[in-house]
Amino acid sequence: MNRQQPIAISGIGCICAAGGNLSDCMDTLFTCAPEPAPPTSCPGSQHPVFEVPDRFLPEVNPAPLAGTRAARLALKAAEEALADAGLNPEMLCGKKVGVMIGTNVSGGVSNRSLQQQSAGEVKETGSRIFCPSPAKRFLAVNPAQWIARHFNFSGPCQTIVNACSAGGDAIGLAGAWIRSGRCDMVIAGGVDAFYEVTYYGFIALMNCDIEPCKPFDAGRNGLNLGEGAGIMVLESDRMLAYRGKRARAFVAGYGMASDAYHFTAPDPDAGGLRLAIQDALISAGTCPSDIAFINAHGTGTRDNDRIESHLFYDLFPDVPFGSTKGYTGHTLGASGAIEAAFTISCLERQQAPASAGFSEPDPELPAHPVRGKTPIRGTTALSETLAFGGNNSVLIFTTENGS
Amino acid sequence: MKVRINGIGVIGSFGCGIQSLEEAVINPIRPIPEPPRKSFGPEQTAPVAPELVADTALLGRFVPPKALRRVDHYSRMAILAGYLALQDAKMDGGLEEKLPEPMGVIVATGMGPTAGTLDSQSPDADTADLRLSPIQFSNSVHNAAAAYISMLLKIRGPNVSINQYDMSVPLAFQTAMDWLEEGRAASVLIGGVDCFSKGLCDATLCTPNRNNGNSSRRPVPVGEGSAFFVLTPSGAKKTRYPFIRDVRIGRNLQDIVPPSNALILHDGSGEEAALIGPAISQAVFSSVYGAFPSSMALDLAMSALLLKKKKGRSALHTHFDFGPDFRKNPRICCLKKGAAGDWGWIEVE
Repeated sequence: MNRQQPIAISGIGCICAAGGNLSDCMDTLFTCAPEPAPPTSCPGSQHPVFEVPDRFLPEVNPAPLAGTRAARLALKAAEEALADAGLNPEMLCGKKVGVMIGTNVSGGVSNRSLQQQSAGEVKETGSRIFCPSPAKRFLAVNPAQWIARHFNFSGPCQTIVNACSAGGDAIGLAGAWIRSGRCDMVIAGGVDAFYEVTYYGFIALMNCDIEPCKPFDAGRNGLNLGEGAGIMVLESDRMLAYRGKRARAFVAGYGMASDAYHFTAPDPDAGGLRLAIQDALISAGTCPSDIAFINAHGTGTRDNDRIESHLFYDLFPDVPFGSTKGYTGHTLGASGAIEAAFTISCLERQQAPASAGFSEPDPELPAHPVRGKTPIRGTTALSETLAFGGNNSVLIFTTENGS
Repeated sequence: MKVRINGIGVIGSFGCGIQSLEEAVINPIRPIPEPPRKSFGPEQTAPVAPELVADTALLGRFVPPKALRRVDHYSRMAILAGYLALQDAKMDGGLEEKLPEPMGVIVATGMGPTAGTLDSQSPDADTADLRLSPIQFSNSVHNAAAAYISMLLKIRGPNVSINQYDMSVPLAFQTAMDWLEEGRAASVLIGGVDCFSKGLCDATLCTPNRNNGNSSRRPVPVGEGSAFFVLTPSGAKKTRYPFIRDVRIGRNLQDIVPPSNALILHDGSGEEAALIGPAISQAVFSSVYGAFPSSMALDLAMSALLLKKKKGRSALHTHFDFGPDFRKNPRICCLKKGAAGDWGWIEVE
């Protein structure tokens, strides 16, 4: 297997606070950012979040038995991605279609909504035993399993739980399933729904701003949580040729590396991120000067934005970069996939949106994000995500055919 | 692509390290104890569960207590198994002190740090009860074990945590083989880990078929533990353990054609025995380390031991003759039937 072989992307779907589909999201990114608000499920809370309005979800739940909101988000984005690729489930019958989804909190058996549901059952029956069983919980909450079952896919099914880099890692790792011939297509991406435990957890870590987040700004004071899903259809060249379709873009490179530094704080020297970028550039067979735009992780926390700014200044001194967290919030396991979708759309438009929330440059930072709509002069862009535990994930996309 | 197992680290109710597993199964120096029974809640109503829990005290030999003060039991098991695997890989003229780099880390878990999240959440909780402490919250993140391994062992290569319930282990090994084949990593520290929890124990008690539908048979105990492996491409020099020949995941068990004379290991808690049929040799070692979603990693460690020693203990549901046919063409396959109807298969030789 040659990891320098680019992987075709034939369809993209996205849902988040910025829009119910990728086109609407991009319209929002180029007009104005939505306002985050305190979560309705946490009365009395001050810290605003970017929740997906119910109107963005289909009126009829595509998966009536799905126990979680995450399953609905994932299915909505997957349906959009398949339609964008010109595919319907019948066309995929007999094909080797895998599913690889990254998530932070939506794939585990510890999902609280099921715990509460089970508590109700316990009260009703007077039984002390928790039901459903862990296996049933898994089947009810696992978004990769839900997508596979909903569309009757028969290929491998895998959930990546690399915290906030999970969605980007799922897209990057799925390439090996295509290169190895294990799959004709992979539905890859990330999803996370708002979850009270995570909300209070980030507040406990003092990582949340009580105002809309301000990535890279001098006054930045933390992140706002968000929710959503980004899903892509990755497809083998053979399958694309068979269908007579062209790729929308390519995953040209993917790198991942660890800080090996601290559980919740990034390496101040950006050691892991630097390695991941180098790895991605090598696998893309490209160099920093080929990168036309960078989608930064840009959460709005003091530490994250500082190390990214310094590294961009060092490795990509003339490359424009920005953060979209001011439009979506930090969607955790979905962020790498949602922002991958945005990055490709920006390449297609040859334009990047303003980095929402950025107005006053931080004198301690050597590089600053774009202030307004910015032309992209090139066909290759880089998107990165950093995660809890020191994970760093870097994807390089190109719209250049035959790269 | 075949990959080489260079070192194995295990932890479970049998103890810590591959020697402990060997003593428990290959060269028993003591009978396998009946698992202790632990009740949760009032004695009159609480189900009584056999539990096979692991003790991580040995981790103090590798890591200063200060560095472990925030680490929960789930991650401690994985960290200890990781250290033991690396230590084992460097023994007996195996890998040199400096392991091939970049080294990747892959952690497979069926439940994640459930004991710290599910069990800490009262089902009757209002939102105020959801305020975990920063340490509790950090430990609840599903890549906690992989992150601690990376931090404590200073491994800066690729790092991934896979959470696909009982398919997590075969998927993780497939990922490791991809990394080694495409050069993303020169070596991989990979393992499975799951933590005993009240929720898991209770739910397993009410799961049908946990004794394989045979009421006369000792039920499969709920367990916990971890098994880690140091993998490199097959081209590396000396072989202390067998090779992983193939990893497969699929929907139809009929697609598997077991090699002749192969022994099949499974956890005995699902439908594997019926699916495989009586004509094929099978062994179950769940009485040693219990059954849990990622216990296939311990089955794989058992497979490596059995192939290395070419003998085993017959008292463990093992209806297998480690005779001349096996010694001539030794091959063991680990099988896991998934909750979603899929299966995972790891073949070692």
